Formats: sequence, C-alpha cells, structure tokens
Amino acid sequence: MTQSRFFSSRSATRSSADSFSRGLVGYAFAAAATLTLAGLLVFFWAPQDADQGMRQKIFYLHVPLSIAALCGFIAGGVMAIQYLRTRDSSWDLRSYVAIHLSLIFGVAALITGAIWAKTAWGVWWEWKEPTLVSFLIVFLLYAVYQPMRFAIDDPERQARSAAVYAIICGAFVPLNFMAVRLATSLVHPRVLGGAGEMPAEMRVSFYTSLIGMGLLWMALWKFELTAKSVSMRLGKLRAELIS
Amino acid sequence: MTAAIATLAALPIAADTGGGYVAAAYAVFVALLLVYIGIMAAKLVRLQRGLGDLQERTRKPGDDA
Repeated sequence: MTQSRFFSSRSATRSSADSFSRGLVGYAFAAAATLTLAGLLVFFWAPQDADQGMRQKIFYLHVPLSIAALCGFIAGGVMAIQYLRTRDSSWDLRSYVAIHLSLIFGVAALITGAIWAKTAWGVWWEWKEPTLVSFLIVFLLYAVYQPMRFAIDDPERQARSAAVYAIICGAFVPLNFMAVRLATSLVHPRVLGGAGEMPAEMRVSFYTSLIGMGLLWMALWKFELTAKSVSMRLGKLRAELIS
Repeated sequence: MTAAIATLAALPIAADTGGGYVAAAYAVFVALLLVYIGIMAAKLVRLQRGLGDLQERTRKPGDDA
C-alpha cells in the first residue's frame, strides 16, 4: 500500500539504474544556463506588452510550465505503452516519475495562471474559460493516478492498472487540447499559431523559456528516477542481507 | 554584484504596473522548485544513511585491523 513497498517489490537491474543517470549533469547545467538566459531575455530584452505591460511577463513562465506538464503527461502515457509491450518494470517507473513530476509542474502552472488571471482579468479563476477548466480537468485526472495506483496491493496488477490509466489519460490530453482549440475562447489568449503574432523578441524569449523548462523537466525526471532506482537497489540489497 | 542589484532595482516591479504579481508568480515557481529539491535532498540523506547501515552490516570482523 505504501510507496516503499511498491518500489521494493520491483527488480531494478544495474543497467537500467545506470541509464537513468546518464546525461543528468548535462541536462541540469543546460537547464540552469537556458533558464538564466531566458530570465535575462524576458526582463531585459523582450518589449513590454502594449495592453498588459509588465503583467505579461508571467506568460513566459506560466505557458512553458503548462506545456511541459501536458507533454510530461503524454510522455507518461507513451512510457506506459512501453511497459505493457515489454513488461519491463523500468518503463513503469519512468511513467510513474513522469506523471509525478508533471503534476508538480501542473501545480505551478495553475498557481502562476491564477496570479496572471488576477492581475490581468481581476479574478483568480474564470469558470467560463475553456482553456483553464480543461487544464484543471486534466490535472484532476492525473491527481487520481497516485491514490488509484497505491490502492492496489498486488505489484503486477498495480503496474498494469496504472499503465492503462496513464494511457487513457495520455490520449485524453491532446483530444482535450484540440476540443478547446475548436471552442470559442472568451478571454484566454492563444499563444501558438494564434492570429496575433508576437514580435520577434517576445517569440525568441518565449521559445528560450520553453526549451529551458523542457530541459528542467528532463533534469528533474532523471534525478528522481536515479534516486528512486538507487533506493530500490538498496532496499533489495537490505532484503537479501536479512534473508 | 552591485551592478546586478542596481539592475534588479531598476526593474518596473511597482504594484501599479502589476510587477508585484509578476514577482509573486516567479517566487512561487522558485519556491516550488526549492521544496522539490529539499525533499529530494532529504531522500538522498536517507539513502546515504541506509548505505552506511548496509556497510556496517556487511563489514567482516577484522576489516578495521
């Protein structure tokens, strides 16, 4: 029922544990450098928005966070497919960590979005706005993932059910995105492919922030995977020693 | 360092421009990141302790000599 029981029940091979940490330092430094550059571009190079002024700077944080979270959810679904295909428990772990990390990014996206909504629209939340509500629905779907997962005792069944759930939710994310795109938005701005094109400085700053956020997601994903796999190996060694 | 502080002070983050909200949004992100890193650091300390414990158990008598 607990996380430690779940992790100690899986056999992590040395090769998979080593592959988790491969590139971790590179991703961490690349994320730090890109996010620093993005901060400099956002605050010292990108022009202020004609309508929102300084408030619009939240966009460079909120949108990359939301995109990283949604892509992470989809990646979790793809890794779950890999688990069902191969029955390799390292894919289950990858999927679990991807969804866990995307939930944290989702929390940050929701909070920064609420702050932006308050300063731009005067309200913390707008229930009539499809983009906000759809993101909340996706977030709540994934918030159920962990309680559902750890409610199942049998490790094999737990991994299988979690994979099926992750695949269904992962497929829901792009469908939901398209449905929202087709709907008429009330107030939420369109960032990618919208009618209102951003100036080049804004676009470059935005894409730098997006790349930085993606690299940060990758670095944290590898970091958590490495920590969890080492923890599992340690637990296994301890069990062997005791037995 | 002084130049960096002077540059930061020149940023238009007054309340009337919405700068307070911008600072709050970025602070939330940094705070969440720090909490996450703190939790992971605590986990690594636990792992280190577990590893030390395992080393103690596996140490053969006479290894210290």
